[in-house]
Amino acid sequence: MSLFSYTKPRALSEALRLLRGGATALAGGTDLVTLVRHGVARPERLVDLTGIEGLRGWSREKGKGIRIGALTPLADLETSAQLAKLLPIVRESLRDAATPQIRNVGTVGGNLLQRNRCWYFRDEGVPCWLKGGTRCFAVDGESRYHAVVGAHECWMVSPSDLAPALIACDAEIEVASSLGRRRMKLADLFVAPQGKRRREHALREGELVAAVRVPEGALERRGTYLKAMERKAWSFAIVSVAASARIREGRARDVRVVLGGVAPVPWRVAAAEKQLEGTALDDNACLAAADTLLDGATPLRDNGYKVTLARELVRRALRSLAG
Amino acid sequence: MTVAARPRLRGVVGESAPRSDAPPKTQGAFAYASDLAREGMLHGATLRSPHPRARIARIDVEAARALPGVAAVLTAADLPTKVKFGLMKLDQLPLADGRVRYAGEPVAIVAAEDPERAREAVRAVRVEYEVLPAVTDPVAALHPDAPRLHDDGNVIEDVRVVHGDPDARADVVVEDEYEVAMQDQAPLGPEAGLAIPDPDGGVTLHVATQWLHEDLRQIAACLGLPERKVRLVLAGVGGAFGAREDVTLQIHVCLLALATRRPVRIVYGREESFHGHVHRHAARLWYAHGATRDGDLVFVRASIVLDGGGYASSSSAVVANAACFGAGPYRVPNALIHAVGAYTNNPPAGAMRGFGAVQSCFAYEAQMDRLAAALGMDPVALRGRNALRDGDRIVTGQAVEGSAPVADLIRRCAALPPPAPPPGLIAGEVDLTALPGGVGNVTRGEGVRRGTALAVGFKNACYSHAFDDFSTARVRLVRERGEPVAYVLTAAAEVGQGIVGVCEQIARTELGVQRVVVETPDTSIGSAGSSSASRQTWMTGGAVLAACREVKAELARRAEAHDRVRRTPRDGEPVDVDLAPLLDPPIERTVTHRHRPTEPRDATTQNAGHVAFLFAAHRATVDVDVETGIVKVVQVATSQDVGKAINPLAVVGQLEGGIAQGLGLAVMEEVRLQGGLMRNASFTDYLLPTTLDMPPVVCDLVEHPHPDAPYGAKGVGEPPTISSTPAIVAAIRAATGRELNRVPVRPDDIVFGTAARSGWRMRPGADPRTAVRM
Ligand SMILES: Cc1cc2nc3c(=O)[nH]c(=O)nc-3n(C[C@H](O)[C@H](O)[C@H](O)COP(=O)(O)OP(=O)(O)OC[C@H]3O[C@@H](n4cnc5c(N)ncnc54)[C@H](O)[C@@H]3O)c2cc1C
Ligand code: SF4
Repeated sequence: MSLFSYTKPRALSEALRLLRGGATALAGGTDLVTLVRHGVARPERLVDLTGIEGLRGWSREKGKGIRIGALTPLADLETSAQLAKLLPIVRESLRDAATPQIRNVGTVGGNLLQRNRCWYFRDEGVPCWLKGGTRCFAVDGESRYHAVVGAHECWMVSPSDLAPALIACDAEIEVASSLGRRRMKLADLFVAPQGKRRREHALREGELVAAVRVPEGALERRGTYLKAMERKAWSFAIVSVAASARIREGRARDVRVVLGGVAPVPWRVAAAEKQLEGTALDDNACLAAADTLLDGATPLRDNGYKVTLARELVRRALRSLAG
Repeated sequence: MTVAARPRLRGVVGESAPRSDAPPKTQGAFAYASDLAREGMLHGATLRSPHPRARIARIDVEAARALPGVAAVLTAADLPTKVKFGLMKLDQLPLADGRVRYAGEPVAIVAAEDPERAREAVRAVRVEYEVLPAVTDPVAALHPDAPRLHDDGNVIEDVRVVHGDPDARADVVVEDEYEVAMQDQAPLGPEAGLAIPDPDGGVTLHVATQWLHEDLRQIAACLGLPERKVRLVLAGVGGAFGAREDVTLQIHVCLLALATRRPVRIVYGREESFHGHVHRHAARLWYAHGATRDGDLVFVRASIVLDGGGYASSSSAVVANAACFGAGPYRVPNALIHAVGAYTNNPPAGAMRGFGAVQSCFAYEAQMDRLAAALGMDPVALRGRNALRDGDRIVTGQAVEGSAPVADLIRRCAALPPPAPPPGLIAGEVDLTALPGGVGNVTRGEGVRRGTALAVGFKNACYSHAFDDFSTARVRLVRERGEPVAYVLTAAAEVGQGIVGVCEQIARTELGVQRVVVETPDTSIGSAGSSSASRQTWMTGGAVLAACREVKAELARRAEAHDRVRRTPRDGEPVDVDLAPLLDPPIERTVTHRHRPTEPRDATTQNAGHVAFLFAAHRATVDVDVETGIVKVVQVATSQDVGKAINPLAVVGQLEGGIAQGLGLAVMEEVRLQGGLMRNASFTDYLLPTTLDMPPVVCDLVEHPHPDAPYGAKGVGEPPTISSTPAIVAAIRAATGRELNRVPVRPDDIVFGTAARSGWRMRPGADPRTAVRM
């Protein structure tokens, strides 16, 4: 572990000032501390955000949707009966994320900004492309858990369960820095590493995520989250699907389908969603949309099964919205 | 003389008595080895090779030594001797000298004032490696022109079993290739030890291990110290399963303590634990089974290659087991089995629960199902028909004495209560934990198919092939506050299996005293052998029993002398004489117990090489989501011949725990290697079954006492891991129709049904060195 300084400010402005100076944000630490311990992350200064009032908890304002503070522990969202009524997909996505202990400590912001799980990335001794090296070791290596679609130089997959679920709810994020605040679509937070951009997230230097917002309109949609794992608990998704739609007289409107575990970003294809508009979400429509979603998939040596799995999960998720 | 009306003894043999180490362990009060501490101690850390095969050109430790707070930096140049260590073959230096043979091999060790500085010092050691191409395919390693990884070649062990007519012909023959991936023992407690230098120039080591005396032998030799100057004390062991049979940090921590003249502690983290200890051998197996049209086995032929990795560890005995038990618990008149253990540049493999019997059982049980299909027979009936009976010979020519209730186990296991029917496509609330997939409801019942299958397996108890297998126990009966108390000292390691409870129950039963104190094992007494090979109840239990009987005899003599004898106590009853005056001075007896000798192995392995055999049958029921390939094991039912259950609850614990490990190997556990490098050295990436993956287990304990064993109690620890894996995989085959010739079975194996192929052509039974690339 490298040496670092540690500060725990009480005021957001103080945290933002430190971030501007190049410090790294620390929330629950469930991801960052491991990365530091394994020598993959080497921050010089850490700003612990957990002492800041006002970044924790969620609220609903009629007509304005739901606002979730970035420092809210995952467990708070998962166990809230009230939120489960408003936005059941969030509970579904968190129920199988990590473990109860990690959900007690891990936060919403940390979950969205966690680093990927590629085992070459997490091995200090492997100088892979994403870490500034010259090549991706997964392309011709052990690739069971890597991307099948949407990858450029780097084939890692976006590991968060919460991200696809929230994107299926059209979530936005509030981003704060010492220069001010901005809003962006949550989907735009995730970027596939490519060219000069050797990172997974689109935050700029000195910025933090202050909150996630789910618009009122999304609350009217039905949603579901399916996650395939290699054991029954405590594992990352090999493939997951978040789907939501408004069902009117047996027909689907405003459909969203977002895949986790298959691409460097939560994977969404507008054409697939459009294709489902107005259908009864019957098997044929669902499978056709799945094919559009996975069109152009180029699996690596070990992960072709993800395509089959994703196709079936998409069908099941959409079917369950109809049923 | 007074005869007290005593309450009946609690916790005697045959009772599910609570064991004294259980409450502190469950309450978090138990001191594990990683909790060891001494005032003023230093913290040790290890630099390991990042390359699976390399020459070390130069090591520069100056920068590391110059760091503040660093007390010692040691490399091969600082070793007091050039003596090598190893469990069966001395082939590894404590620190690599000139060559590294696997990624993770220790190259330098440091001691510093705190763990951070120790790690910093490790980083500061500069090593120049000349990287060499790694040999990672064990079959290729056996090829005559493969690079030599050790001076004496790449064959660690070569075992041939030739029985009856090796060229026998049969009406029906089935043949296939099988693969078993590398499994980790994954004990929850990582390796840890504390070494304290002694004023006499020796050292005392507190360590979590399976075998104190074997550690001592290897440590003393490598330190260049006489054995009496090295003392070992057992520290709290957080699980072992074979991973603690080899030396890991023992020599390192002693070297550092002697070099710094200060106490030094080394504690591995999880990742280092994966690199630090040996694993279960990955295996390639080629099998052919022949039978008559009526379903009588005619022959079994097999070629088996076990990947021993960079150093030998216990590979030779694992190879022998894979071969000796390679035909299964069946009557097989003709057999030809050739098993070889190969040096490679993969991480070393050694002991793990089931010890060689696991790999071959996966293959021969799959073969039995194939054979049944080829014959159009019910697979359970085929097994019953060929099951070993008392007095039958296994393929090594040894007759099974005591008991061989194989057919009985198969019949009983098949008849155990089945699980509830599959949830099916039910509207409304479904228990999602009962279905394949996470609780994240991948399926609500659609696409789920059920399969059930049975498998049976066996292996030896205790050490084999003329090894001098013994255990020593000292029993001291004293009077404390008017009460008789028995103190039991052995060197047997409690690794979680319950030997402490076994000793307590035996001493209570034999001596008729309620209070029994099992003392912390150390090397002040003779060896107890390893807590492995399902042997401690038999060996150390036997030693305690014998010592107790000597104490009892002395007690009877003293009582007679005092004319106090009422009657000799019967087992399980309190002694009904007032012991107090008879225990001054206390009675102390030390007894060494041996099992009857076994024969050494000859060229065709036709000898009585084993002392006894352990049998179990498992029936597994699985639900498979066939479209996604996700499996839920619904139930495992087992009938196991335990001889006698000294503590039925503890036996059930062994059965359930062993089945959990068998399930892990069946569907998820695999150390993933690429070019000799481990990709998943963490509990996030190396998947172990959780409680949600573990199904209910139906246990049927069959008690056929073995005449040689204490109370007839055979060992119970290993059989649960042997046939549970093939039973689960067979159940998945039954549900999916897929071939599944490799464990662990992965979702894609089910979805695509691709079979594992080594790329080597091998005629089953032939010398694995003659394999030809396809
Ligand atoms: C064993 C294990 C299993 C797991 N399984 C799953 C799983 O199945 N599904 C799943 O979704 N996740 C899983 N996770 C990941 C887990 O959910 C995350 O580690 C956790 O949510 C991170 O939250 P944290 O608050 O601890 O983040 P930290 O570790 O504190 O931070 C993570 C990253 O986010 C940055 N960060 C944190 N907060 C902010 C903010 N507000 N603004 C800007 N940057 C910020 C940090 O700088 C850091 O880079 C698992 C983790 C572990 C260790
Ligand atoms: S997938 Fe990305 S993180 Fe993994 S090795 Fe390739 S470049 Fe590195």
